[in-house]
Amino acid sequence: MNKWRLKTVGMCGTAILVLSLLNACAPPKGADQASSSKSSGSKEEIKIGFVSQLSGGGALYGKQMENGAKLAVDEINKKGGILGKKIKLIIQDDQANPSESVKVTQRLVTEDRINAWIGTLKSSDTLTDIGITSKQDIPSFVPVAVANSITESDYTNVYRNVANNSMQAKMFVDYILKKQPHKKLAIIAENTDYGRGLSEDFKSFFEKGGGEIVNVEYYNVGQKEFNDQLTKIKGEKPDGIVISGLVAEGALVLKQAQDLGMKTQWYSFGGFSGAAPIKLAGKAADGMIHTEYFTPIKGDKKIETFVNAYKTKFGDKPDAYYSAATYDAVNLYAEGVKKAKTLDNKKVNDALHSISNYQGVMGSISFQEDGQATTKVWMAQIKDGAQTVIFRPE
Amino acid sequence: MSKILVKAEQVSVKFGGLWAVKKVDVDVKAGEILGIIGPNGAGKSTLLNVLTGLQRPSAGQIQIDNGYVSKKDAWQMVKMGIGRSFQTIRLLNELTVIENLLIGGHLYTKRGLLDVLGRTVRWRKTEQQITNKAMELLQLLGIGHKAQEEISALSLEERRRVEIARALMTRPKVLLLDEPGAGFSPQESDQLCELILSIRNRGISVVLVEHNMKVIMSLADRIIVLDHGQKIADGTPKEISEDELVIRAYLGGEDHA
Amino acid sequence: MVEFAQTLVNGLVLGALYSLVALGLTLIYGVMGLANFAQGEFAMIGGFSAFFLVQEGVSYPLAVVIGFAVAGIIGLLVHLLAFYPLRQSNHINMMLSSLGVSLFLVNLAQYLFSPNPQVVKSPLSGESFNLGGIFISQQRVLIVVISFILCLATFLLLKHTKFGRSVQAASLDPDTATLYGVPTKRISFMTFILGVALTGIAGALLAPVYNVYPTMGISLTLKAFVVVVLGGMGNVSGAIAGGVIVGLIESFAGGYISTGFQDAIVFTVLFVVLILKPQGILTKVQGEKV
Repeated sequence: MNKWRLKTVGMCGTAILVLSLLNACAPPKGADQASSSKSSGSKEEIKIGFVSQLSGGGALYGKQMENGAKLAVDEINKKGGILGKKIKLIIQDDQANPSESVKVTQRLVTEDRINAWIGTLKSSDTLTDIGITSKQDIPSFVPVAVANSITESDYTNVYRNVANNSMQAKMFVDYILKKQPHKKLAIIAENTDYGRGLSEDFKSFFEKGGGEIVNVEYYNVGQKEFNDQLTKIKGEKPDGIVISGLVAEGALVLKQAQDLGMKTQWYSFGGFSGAAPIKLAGKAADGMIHTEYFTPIKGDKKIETFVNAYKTKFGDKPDAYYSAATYDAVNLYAEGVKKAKTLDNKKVNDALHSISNYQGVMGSISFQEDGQATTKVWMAQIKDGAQTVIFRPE
Repeated sequence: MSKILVKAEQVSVKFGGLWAVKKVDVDVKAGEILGIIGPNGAGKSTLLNVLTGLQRPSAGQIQIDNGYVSKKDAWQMVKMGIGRSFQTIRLLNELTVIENLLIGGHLYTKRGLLDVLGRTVRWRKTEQQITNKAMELLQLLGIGHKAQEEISALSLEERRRVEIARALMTRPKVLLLDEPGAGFSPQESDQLCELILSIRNRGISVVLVEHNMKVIMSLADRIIVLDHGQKIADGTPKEISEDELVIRAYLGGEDHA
Repeated sequence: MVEFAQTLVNGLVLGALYSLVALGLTLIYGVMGLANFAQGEFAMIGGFSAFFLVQEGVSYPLAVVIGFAVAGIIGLLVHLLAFYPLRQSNHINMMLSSLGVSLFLVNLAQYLFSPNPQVVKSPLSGESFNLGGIFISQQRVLIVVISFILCLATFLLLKHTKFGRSVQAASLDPDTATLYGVPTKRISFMTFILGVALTGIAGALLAPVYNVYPTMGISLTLKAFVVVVLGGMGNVSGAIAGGVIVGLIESFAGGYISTGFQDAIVFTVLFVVLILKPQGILTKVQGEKV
């Protein structure tokens, strides 16, 4: 009897381990929603492969990417396509799972013989996928994933039309030091490559610029309780706190800090873009300043045209940068093909590298040699339950 | 004629291809001591299991108080007034003697959480009542001084007594005892006989499976003899002791069967 | 000093929550021998029912009570479909079945409610008590108070009622318990429902603090298992005390060692306990349960 109990305890130990692993991975996702419009073999088409998460946790954002791509493709096709050829978008769901992402990308390259590739929502998936497309030099666009390493792999076919983490941190630090009075900050960071990388960049730039980081606390993805981190930070009495993480946990950080009576200036990054922080943190998010890549603001003709076209087609206003960046990516590829006057991968890549000051929805874009665009980030602040743009680059 | 409390008709239990019990009729009358004897493997314990709901009969029916109960669970049989002790003692060894009895005693109490929270009069009264009843039974069985001991600290003989007390705690009409005297000294066996008689004097029928012939012949009003799962005789001790079939079964009759 | 006191308060609040979830888990383990890996999902069910009810205009306190009932009813269905058919089977099959239930409920919730977090508004949301620099939100005070009341009520229920004695007997030896007139099967049903309903109410209570989303239960199950193993499998007072201990370890590990290794420290304590005292720190002798 006793022996049996010990065995059960041992078993539970094992099962707890298994469960921790399960917990660490992304939960299994629903059915594949990708449109299965397979290649018809027609030579009159330009095929763009699109890979993102369309089911499960990040599907909300993946779907917006998909919409942005669809909108751009439709507009181009309505105007007669490029070089007289129509664009065909082949959409694949990678469930934000690296092995699934590689599988669908491989299929796009070998079976569909795509001319260009666009993806994904997650930096880790993007990194493995561009390893495949680069073997055939297929122009590959990264509109959303922001890990520095994506454009640091010496691939000559990878383009990112959004600022990477490092650029984001640098511009944010410059902004805070110049325009805000806070010189003594604390950081609460997600315990992942994303959160740690961003927080390390921010810390080094901020300290170089003369600021002080009083402490850095970490939390895990999916964590719900932040009182311990916040109590420690509170004891250090910083002027402001930087959340180096995403909104699901970040919103709870804000709420719990409010409950702990903390009145401080909050800062965060692109993870807080869009309307989610206001919905999840409510009043606790008021006053927060965060970096932003794009907001559907009024008064800019290019943006208004895009937002209206998006609204007409999909019924919703675009939230954050996901759709705008993907929309720009498709147009950038079209621009490259127009310049090269051929679909030859090598020539299109050369043409893309020579693009300078292309005016996209998200702003002016020029690609550097490594494929990273010299683009700037915006600053937004949450005021009275609405997001307002407080700084926009020229 | 006294009333029939338990009536088993043509009860059979089959394990694989083997009949452990085959078409056995048993009546238990109010206030009687019924002995069941038979060689090892004759099906005595299986028959008791059927009568207490631990074993579903393959065929046949059981009636308690004129209601069919062949498909009832063990706890329902307890509730219908069938108490039992086991050849291999079955108690909650981690608890004390009195705790074991109190669990059985709760069968007839009704107490909700509110009573406990309010510590109502009813709560105190029932708690007191079942504790008194348990102590009284332990005195009757001569183990009142062991009430606060854990079962695992008791001797085999003491555990048998606790088991009988546990069965009595559920207010049985019929008490089934499966070799209650196994491993007892002659003196302890005598005490057991007195005990069984005093239980019967409380108006409880007793069904006794016992190897000790002296005990069974002196106590039983009526005896059933099983052999190879079948009933071969049913009668008073005197009739049984003169029965041809019984003598043959007990004197190595298996060789000729 | 204030920081120490705040850390202590944080730990106690967390502990109260862990105790409540672990209590349900340990009850179910005690009676059914089931290591229920779907326990946390009932917090998710309680949380989502509170979310939908509050959205429909039901007052929050009533939503909490209904959350308790909804978790209980779904618990009954789960027991009937996933565990009752396996009652004769061994405990490992039951445990695997519970893992399946957990995955199923999480995926179902993702399908029905989307994977995104949802906010539940409580009248206490955003309000805090300030005790000389030590802050505690009113919702957390509510969690502590209700958790304390429910733990105490369950404890009394088990110690002093017929149901409690039946649960005790069934958890010690389900077959023998039937000989005492204990309806073991029915008790196992009732215990499972009570156990998951307690976790359901925990889910409805923590919803305003933590938001609700389909995977919210997984980490809760994990913590509850740590508590239950620490306190002794099936040991009710062990689960209650163990919850508070784990809450304090977690809080002080985060406050005074490192927030990055908070969970690692909790699990290290667990493994040390498993090696030195596998029956749990609060189990004195073998079999002192329920």
